[in-house]
Amino acid sequence: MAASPDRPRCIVLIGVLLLLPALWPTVGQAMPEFARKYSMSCAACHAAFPRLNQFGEYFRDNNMRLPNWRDTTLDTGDEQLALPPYPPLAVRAQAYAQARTGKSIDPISGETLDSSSDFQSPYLVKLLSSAPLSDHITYYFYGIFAEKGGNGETVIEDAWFRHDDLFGSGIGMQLGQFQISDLMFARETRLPFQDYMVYRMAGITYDRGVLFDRSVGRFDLGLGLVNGNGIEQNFDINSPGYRRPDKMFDNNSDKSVFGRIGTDLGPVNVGLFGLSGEQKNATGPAGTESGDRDTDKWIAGVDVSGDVNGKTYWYAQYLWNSWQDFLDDGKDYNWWGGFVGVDHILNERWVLSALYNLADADDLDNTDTIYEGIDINSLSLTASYYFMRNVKAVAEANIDFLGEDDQSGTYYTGHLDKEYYILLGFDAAF
Amino acid sequence: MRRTATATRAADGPGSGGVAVGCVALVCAVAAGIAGAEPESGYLVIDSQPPAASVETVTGHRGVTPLSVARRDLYPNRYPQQRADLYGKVVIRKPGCADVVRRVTLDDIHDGLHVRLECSTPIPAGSAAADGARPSEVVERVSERRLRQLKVLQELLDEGIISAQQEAGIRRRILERQ
Repeated sequence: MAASPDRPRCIVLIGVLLLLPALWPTVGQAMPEFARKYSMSCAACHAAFPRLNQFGEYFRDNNMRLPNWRDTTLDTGDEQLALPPYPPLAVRAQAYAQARTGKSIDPISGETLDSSSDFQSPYLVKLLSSAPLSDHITYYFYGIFAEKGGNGETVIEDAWFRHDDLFGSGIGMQLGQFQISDLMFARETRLPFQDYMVYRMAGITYDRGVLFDRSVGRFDLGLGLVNGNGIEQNFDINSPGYRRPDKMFDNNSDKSVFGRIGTDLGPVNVGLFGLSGEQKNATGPAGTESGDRDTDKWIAGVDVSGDVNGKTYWYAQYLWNSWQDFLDDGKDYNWWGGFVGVDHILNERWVLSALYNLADADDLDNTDTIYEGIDINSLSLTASYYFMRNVKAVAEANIDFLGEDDQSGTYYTGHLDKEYYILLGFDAAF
Repeated sequence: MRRTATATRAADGPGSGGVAVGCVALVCAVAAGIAGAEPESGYLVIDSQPPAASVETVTGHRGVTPLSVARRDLYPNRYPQQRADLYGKVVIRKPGCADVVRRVTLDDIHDGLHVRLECSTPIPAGSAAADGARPSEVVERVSERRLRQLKVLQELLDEGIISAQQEAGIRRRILERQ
């Protein structure tokens, strides 16, 4: 919809909507699935939903269970059966309205879609489920319905089994779909709407594989293997014959290997991350197509985080990336990025957050490909108001410090527009 | 929805001016919220028989019964690792009585936690036990308990620890309870 003289009224309306939460009634309690199962407040695990507090991190690391988990199962009289008394389901739903400067531009033709204001409602509806199944095995999954406007779609993202003591070794093993970046900072438990952009750009979000973890003295170790091609591909296995039932999920035999070693240095948690893997080269107009060459990909990173009295949480991530032979054979493309964020819990109602994303496309600059768009320099300021422990209003403004690129070369790539936005909406889990 | 044939960067849209106004509104909203912020919500009311027992949580000694404990004293965002076993629990102690350790449930927060201590020393004169009642009969009359709870509630209100709205809600629950 084109902009109109009504814009000032819209801005006033946005202002009124922003002020509404301050007038909202008070008090309540949240009842998502773990709270239901263990008869605990959401506040037991969340400093402010969805951010985990110290106990929430313990609960997560303890295979998402409390010691009395067996008391929460159905008494079938069979010691070899630990069924939840009801399907352990929970829902998370988000709905937003947004005003923005960014547009959808076809990088090849330049065709433009411009929606400066947008109702993103529902932004997503998630169905989550998790429960302990035995003394050492827990499952967790969630599916997203209509994520980001993709109505008619259902996407399974996190979906895994985890054994917390493999062969009595103290080693945990998680098999399934998960985010590689969860080893550092879990995107799903961030407070801002804005993403941890470098994780998306580096391609270390969802993948299929296995993750081993163990604590050794003061150090936490994580080591994983993933297919490296995301969570959307599968291929028929037809060489043995006609209509064989199985599928290949990976498109090659090589796996991406990654790991993190972390420790506490005083009040600061520090981690070092590394990944070695492969990806298909980019080719075609503006680099939008996947080529036939398997190219090497290296990532090294450092993350730090901490909190002040459980009131102010801060975190920072830096990632260096080397995509070898990614565009032209024989040439390495190095780039880097990171983010810094802080969440401050003012009280039981208000949480303020700031997230600064910075990335430099570096060797991918001036390649006339979509990868020029790795450049980002933005600050997101977020206010979250909790009507209840599990229902909040979110107001966020994104400020873009990066200068606009003039279209040059053959294609429409790079930072062609500022990415200012204002976003208002609701986020709930129940 | 409109698809144009060019990549002209239109000057319309909210632009930096509109976003700046939005930022101001955001700041105003936050300021309004801070100004109107309620104190920390959610309390667990604890009483014991006999009364004047000390109450401890993961955050340390909280006082003596009857009292109310803030939810964040049960579930603090940060706590010393050596006290982790007490997370989400209350320990009620009184000399001459057996310690009581209870994991707090949502029902406890809703209804209040009423604990009867098993004591080896004689209970002071005037109590039901001292009047000859069997241990199972040493149950405070509902009306007396309500009275004491309401008194604690009034103190919390007077001290500004809870709002009038919260007080009204809790009062209603106390009075409706059988």
